[in-house]
This record gives sequence, C-alpha cells and structure tokens, in this order.
Amino acid sequence: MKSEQRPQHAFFVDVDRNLCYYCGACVAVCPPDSIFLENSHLKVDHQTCTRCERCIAMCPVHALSKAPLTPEVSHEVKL
Amino acid sequence: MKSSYDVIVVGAGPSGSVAARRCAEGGLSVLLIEKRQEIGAPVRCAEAIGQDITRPYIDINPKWIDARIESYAVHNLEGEHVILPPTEPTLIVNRKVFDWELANLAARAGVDVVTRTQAEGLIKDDSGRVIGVRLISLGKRHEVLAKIVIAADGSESQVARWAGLKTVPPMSDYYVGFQYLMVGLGGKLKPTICEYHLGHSQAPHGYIWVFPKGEDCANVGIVIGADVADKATAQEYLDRFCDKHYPHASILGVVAGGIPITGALKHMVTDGVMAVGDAAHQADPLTAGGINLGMIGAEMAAEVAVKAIRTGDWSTRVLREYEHHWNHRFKRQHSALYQLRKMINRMSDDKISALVHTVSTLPIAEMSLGEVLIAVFRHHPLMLIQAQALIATGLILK
Repeated sequence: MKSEQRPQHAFFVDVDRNLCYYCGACVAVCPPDSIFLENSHLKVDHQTCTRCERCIAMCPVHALSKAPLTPEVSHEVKL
Repeated sequence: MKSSYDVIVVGAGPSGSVAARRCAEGGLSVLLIEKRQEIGAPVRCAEAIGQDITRPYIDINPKWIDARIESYAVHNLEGEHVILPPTEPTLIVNRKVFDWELANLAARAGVDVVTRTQAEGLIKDDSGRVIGVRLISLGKRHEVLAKIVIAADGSESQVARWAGLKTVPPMSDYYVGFQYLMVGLGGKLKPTICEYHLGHSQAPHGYIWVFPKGEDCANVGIVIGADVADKATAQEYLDRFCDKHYPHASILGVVAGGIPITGALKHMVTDGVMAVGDAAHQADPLTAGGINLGMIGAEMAAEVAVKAIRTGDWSTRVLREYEHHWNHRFKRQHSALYQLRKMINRMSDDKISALVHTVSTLPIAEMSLGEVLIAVFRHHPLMLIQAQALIATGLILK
C-alpha cells in the first residue's frame, strides 16, 4: 500500500530525543514490546507497534507523541 | 566472567544485589550484571527506606544516610496537615552510595559483578527452558549459561518478558513519576519530616512528596495515575506545585520513571527464571515504595533458588515456593492497600481535604481506632486519611 492511500488518521509514535529521559516507563507498558531502551536512545519498532498509545500516556514528560506518517517511516508502519 | 554460573542476576539495583549476595552466601556461583556504566546512577527513586527492615541486608551507615525522619506530614490542598510518627525510623538515603555498597557486599560474598553489561536475550533449550543469557559486556558479545536467571532489571524488565511472564497490567496499575532534587528550600523545609500532599487537582490519582535530604535540600516528586495522565504531564503538575511552594529553589537533579503498582505479578517465576523487585511489581501498591519490598523479595527468591539448585530441580513447580512465600507475607496487606488506592482515587478533593482537616483537629493518640489499626496507618501514612471513610463503610472495623 502506498502512503498516499493510507487513512487520514494514520500516525506513528515519534520520540523527541530532547525531551526523553530514557527512563523506560514507556517500555514497561508496551504490550507488543516494541520499544527498546538502548544505551543512548529510545527506539520504537514501527513494524510491531500497534499504536495503542499507552506509551504516549505513560511518558512523564510527553516525549512520545503521535506524528503524521512521513515517507521515511511509512513503509515500516503496519496498518 | 566465566562461561557458566549457577545463577545470573540481571540488574544491580538493591534487589539484584541482595539476590546475588544471598545466592553466593548459599554456596552458588553467581554473575551479577548491570547495563549502566556505574552502579546506582542515575537514581530513579524518592530514596526513603525503613531502618529496621533494611538492617538484615546492610549495616546502617551514615555515609549513605542523607536524613533521619521523625514524622510524616500529610497535607491537603488547603495546607492543613496531619502529623504522624513512623512505626520505625525512616531514613532518606543517597541511592548512589547505597546501591554501590550493596553491590560491593555482593562482590565481597563472591559474586562476579560487572557493569556496562546488558542482557540481549535468553538462551533456551529445545523444550523452551531458559538455560542462560546472551549479553554484551564491555562491548563484547557473550553467551553465558546458568541454571537460574534472576530478573532484577526494573519495571521495564526485558528478562521477565522474554521468559514469558505477564508484566503488562492495565494503565490504572501504573504510576507515572517525576522528581526534582532541589536545593534552596529555605525555611520551608523541615529536615526531619517527610511531607505528602494529596489532592487530585494537583496530583491526579497520586500524590506529591517532599523528602528532605538535609537542611536545605529535598527530593520533591510526584506520581500520578497513568490512566489519568492525559491532561498534563507529571512534570507539569510538579512544576505547578514547585512554582507555588519553592519559587526560588534550584534543581540539582531530575528523575523520571514509571512504577507498576499491581502489588506483585501473579506469576513471578517460570522454568529457570525468577523476577524480583520492580521487575516483579513488588512495590507497595499505595505509596509505590519499593526498596525494602524488593530486597525482601530478592531474599525470598534467593532462598528458593539455593534450595532448588542444591536438590537439582529448578523447574517452575519448585520455584513457585517463592511466590507462595511472598503471597503468604504480603498478599492480604497489599490487596488492602491496592483497594485503598482505588478508594482514594474515587474521592473528591473536597472529601480528601475534609478528612485531613477532621483528623488534623484530633489528638491522634486518643482516636478510637485500636492499636493494630493505628500501627497499620503509621506504616502507611496515606491510609490515615481514609480511616474515617473505611470505618464508616465497615471495611476494616465492624
């Protein structure tokens, strides 16, 4: 499916590295285990992410947010 | 690091270090790994512990004590407060030194300790049984075998998940936390009093704390319910409080994190894996305090691990004894605290304020609650607020 055919509500979970404390709160609440706390950054696996938004609610500083799909990530995101 | 151990403990917080040390003292060979470069940092904790309940695990030493607490003060939104003496001396610790000392004790008991070593996955045999850990240690990949792997890797535990334990409860069973280490609190800080501030408008489904770490310095933090964290962030709620109470303070440290408050996982073990501390959700389901409970859980797990390996059977069935010990000691108490949190969540701010006001006007020692109940309340200061409501609804005293 091409990105322009995707529904309007399509989004992916984006991490603002300036805000993130790498505290792991989002990792703990992610049902499909799609968030990884690596040494110096947080990584979201867009392929397995179900976009349940629990991580977004859980973040103490709202470093995670819904971002509109971009061509760079749209091929990764499962709809 | 050897290629094989009796036990590998993942995570060198207080629970991991105690689990590792108790296993080594029981005669097992133990590897304790910590993904961070340094033990104890960064701190993710309000740093309050009970002195007596800590004593079995470490000699009480002034080098990691920042403050000695003589009473708790529970505040409502109007600034009225109830003063409660703790049932045992409470200490505010310096976790960097405290954690370091616990890991040091583990090392001295014969545990191989190594930092900057992250678990990447579990090694399983053909039957799916866990037989070791794949890890990156100081930049190099290793496969290390173990009879039992102890998951002490915190609330975001990967090890417990890889082992198949169900570690993702509903959002209503999580606190979102944020904390400043502040200095310049001036005359507003009482260095021997821990403050709790209640009221859903300032900390929805949670509370704010001020735990002194000296004359002029304190951990000022907040937890809010993760299910009601959509309006503002934990940081924003805390900033409002700090702007109001400590407008001229400076920030020397910032802590963020999430805390599961389920009152322990239903299943904390599986074949060859045991979870302890935050990885097993062992924090107090009302206050989210977890250092002491995690160390007790770690000791319980280690006792069962030592026995299991000695007898040559570390199957799930045998390791379940650890769950039985935990449930026997804590299940009833934690169920009550869990229910109490839910009750407070349902109360309006006016009701909470009124209760604090009522209790603040009473001579606590003369309250007709009974010694046992008083002791429970002293141990869990937030419960006092609920005392009248609990009695009125006949839940505790009939």
